[in-house]
Amino acid sequence: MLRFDQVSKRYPGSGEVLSGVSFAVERGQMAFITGHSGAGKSTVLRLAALIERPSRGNILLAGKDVTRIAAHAIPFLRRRLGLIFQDYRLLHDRSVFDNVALPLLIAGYGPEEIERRTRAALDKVGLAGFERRYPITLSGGEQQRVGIARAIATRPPLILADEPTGNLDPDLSVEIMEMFRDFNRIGITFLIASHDQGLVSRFADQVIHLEHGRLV
Amino acid sequence: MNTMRTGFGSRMSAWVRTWLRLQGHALFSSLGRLWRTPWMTLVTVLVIAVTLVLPLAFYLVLKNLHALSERIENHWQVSFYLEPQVDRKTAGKLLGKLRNDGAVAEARLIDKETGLAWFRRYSGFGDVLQALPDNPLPIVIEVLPKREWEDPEKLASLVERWQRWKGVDFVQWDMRWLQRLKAWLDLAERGAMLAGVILGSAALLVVGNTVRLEIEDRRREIEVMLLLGATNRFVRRPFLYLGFWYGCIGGGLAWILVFGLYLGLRPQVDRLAGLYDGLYHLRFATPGEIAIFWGWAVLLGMAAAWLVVSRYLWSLRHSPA
Repeated sequence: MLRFDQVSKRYPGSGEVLSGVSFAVERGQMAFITGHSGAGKSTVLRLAALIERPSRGNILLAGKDVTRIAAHAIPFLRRRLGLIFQDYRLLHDRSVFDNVALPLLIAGYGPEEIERRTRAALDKVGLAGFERRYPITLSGGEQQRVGIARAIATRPPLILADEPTGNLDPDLSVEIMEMFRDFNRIGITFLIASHDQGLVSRFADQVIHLEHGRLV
Repeated sequence: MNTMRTGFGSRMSAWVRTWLRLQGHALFSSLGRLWRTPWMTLVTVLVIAVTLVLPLAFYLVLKNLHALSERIENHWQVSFYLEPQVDRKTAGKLLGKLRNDGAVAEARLIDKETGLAWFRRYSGFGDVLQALPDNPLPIVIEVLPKREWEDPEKLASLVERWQRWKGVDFVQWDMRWLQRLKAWLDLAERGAMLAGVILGSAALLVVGNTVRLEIEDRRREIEVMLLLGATNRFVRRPFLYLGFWYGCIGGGLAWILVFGLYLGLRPQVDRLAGLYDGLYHLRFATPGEIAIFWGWAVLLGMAAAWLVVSRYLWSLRHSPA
C-alpha cells in the first residue's frame, strides 16, 4: 500500500530530519509510527501525503512511484488518502455536515451522493444528528470524530493520521483507536503516528520506530 | 461503475454536469459570503464604483468633446463679405467663379434678406435693425474648400488670393481659434485617457487587495482544501467569482453614479449650448458602451482576483509550511 525506499529529507538550514528510512505498510494493516517528538514521525506522514517531497529515496503509493509526480497530479492522489490531524483541522465557519461533505464536493460528487455519503460517514463515527452543529460547539473527542468522518467520507484505501489522539484524554483515545480498528477490519489501511506506547502496543499490527530520523 | 454502459458521450455529459455544479456552487457561495458581511461588501463595492466612475466620466467627457470637435472640423468654412454696393447679379457671377474654382467644394450665396432674417433670429439685435431705414447687411458667400485644402497654411494662401478679388470686402476664416480649440481638445483627450488608465489600475488594485485580505482570512480553509485534494482551480474558483461580483456590482454602481452625474450636468450643458447655436446635447453612453465597460469591470475584477490567488498558491508551493 505504502512503501518508503531509502527516503531522506533535509530542510535547508537544518540537518537531515529523515535519513535513509525504508519500510512498507501492507494492505489491510494497522501500522504505527512511534518515536519521540522530533524523531521524524510527522515528516514521514507529510511525505506520504505528498505535502512534501523527499530529498532522496523513493515513495510508492499503491504500487505507484509518486516521488517525482507532477504537481498537478497531486490533488488527485490526495483524494485517495484520508488525512487525520492532531488539531482536527476543521473549518469553524461551516457546519459539521459541510465539513464532512468538503472532500466529496472537491472530488466532484453530485448533491444526492454527497448527502448520502456524508450522513453515512457521520453515522459511522456516531455523530448522526450532529449535521447542523458547528465544530466549535463540540467537545474535542467529537471534533476529532468529525475529522475522522471527513477522512472516511470518500472511502479511501489508506488513512494517514498524525497524533490523532494527541489532544484527547486516555478513554477517548482508546475509543478513537477502536473506531480505527473497526474501519481497519473492513479493509482500510492505517498509518498512525503516535507516541502513546500503551495505545501502540494494544492496537498495532506493525510498529515503525524512529529515532533521530532513523529507523530503529 | 458500469463501464460497459458508460459511453464517451455520457461520461462527457457527467463531466459537464460536475463542472456546472461546481461553478454554480462557487458562484452562489461567493455571493453568500459577500452577503454575510454586508457592510464590508458595501464599502468595498463603493470604493470600486467610485474608482470606476472617474474613468467612465472621463470617457463620456471625451466622447462629447470628440463629437463637438467633429462638428468643428466641418467648419473649414470661409465667408466672403462682399462690398455693400455689389448687387445680386454681380454676386451671382462671383458665386459662379467660385464654384468653378478648383479649390472649392461647395459655395452658397446668402442674400441680404436671408442674412437679415438670420441676424434677427440669432443676434438679439432685431429691434435695432428695425430702426434702420434699409438693410445694412452685405451679401455673403459661404465657401467650403475641397478636402485637400483643409489645412491651415494652404487655406491661408487661398484666402489671401480670394481677398484680392474685385467686389470682395473681406474674406473671413475662423480657423485660427478653431485650431487652438482643437489642440486643447486633443490635450484633454490625451489627459482623460491617461487618467482612465491610472484609475482603472487603481480599481484593479482595490479588488486585488480585497481578495488578498479575503485569502488571508481563509488561509486555513485553503490549506485544508488542498490537503483534501482540491486542485488549484478549485481553490481559485470562489475567489474568481468574488472578483466577478465585485466587478459586476461595482461596475453597475459606477454606471448608476455616472448616470446621476449626467442627469445633473445635462440642464447646464443644454443651457450653455442654447447660448451658442442650441444644437448640442450632452450625450450619454449607448447600451453597447455600457455593456462593454461593464464587461471590462467584471474582467478587471476577475483578473485581479486571479493574479492574487495564483500568486498566493505559487508562494504556498515554493515555501515549505
